[in-house]
Amino acid sequence: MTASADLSGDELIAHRHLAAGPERVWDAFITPVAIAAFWGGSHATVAPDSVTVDLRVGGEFALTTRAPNGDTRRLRFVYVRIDQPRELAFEEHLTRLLTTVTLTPSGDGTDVVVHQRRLPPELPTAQAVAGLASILDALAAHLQSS
Amino acid sequence: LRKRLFAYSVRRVPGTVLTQPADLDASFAALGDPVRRALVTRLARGEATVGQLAEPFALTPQAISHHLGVLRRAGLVEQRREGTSRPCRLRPEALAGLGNWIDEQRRMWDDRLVALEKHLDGNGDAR
Repeated sequence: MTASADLSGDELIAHRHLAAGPERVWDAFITPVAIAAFWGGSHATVAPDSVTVDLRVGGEFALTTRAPNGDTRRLRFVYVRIDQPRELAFEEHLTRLLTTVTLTPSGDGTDVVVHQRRLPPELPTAQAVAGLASILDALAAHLQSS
Repeated sequence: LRKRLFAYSVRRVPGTVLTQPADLDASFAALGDPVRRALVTRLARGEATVGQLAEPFALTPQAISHHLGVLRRAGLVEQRREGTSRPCRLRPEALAGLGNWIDEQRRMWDDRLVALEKHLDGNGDAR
């Protein structure tokens, strides 16, 4: 099933070991030129002069992505937690999606873990903790039987 | 059925960053409330009337109706008229859209961390 979402809150989005120390990885996350170099991945480009970083809790971090077909999109985030060089958390200003990047020294490099929290974690029932994926499974079962 | 559940996909510009449907924000906002999440969980077991939905809660039917209105406007729930009752049901395509969006986030971050690795490799051992 495609949906692996969890209504309960934090979800592991990505994990990668990088052959660079936490300080270097941290710098890459807060330096406009570095952000421009990697943020678009292989799906978009980011012009360095489009990146602004106001590194303080409540400060904004913004950039513009350009798709291969020329479409551009301005992304804006607000820093929620800054714990150099361990944890950086920022919230997307439209969806309020909270992204937390955690850096942990590991061997000769750094483990980078990205979590996202889409929804408040307080859940009233164990049932609700079952999550969106199981909701969809239950829904599928219900539709099949009805 | 699975095809039906996931036939809906979040619209995106091909090969590019995700284009968020306008209703995605509304969906996340609607699910940001514990009562509404519990209503969604209950409706996943099958359709129910407002009275049936209100049973486990110390809330009035009016309060439940308010929450259902939020879920309905977000496209997550639909209500039909059946005589005097108005049973509610989930809209699976809307929930599938949320799941697809989260999967898209995961793909984008994987891609981004690969690019970060390349960037750090290219910069040598500056530190």
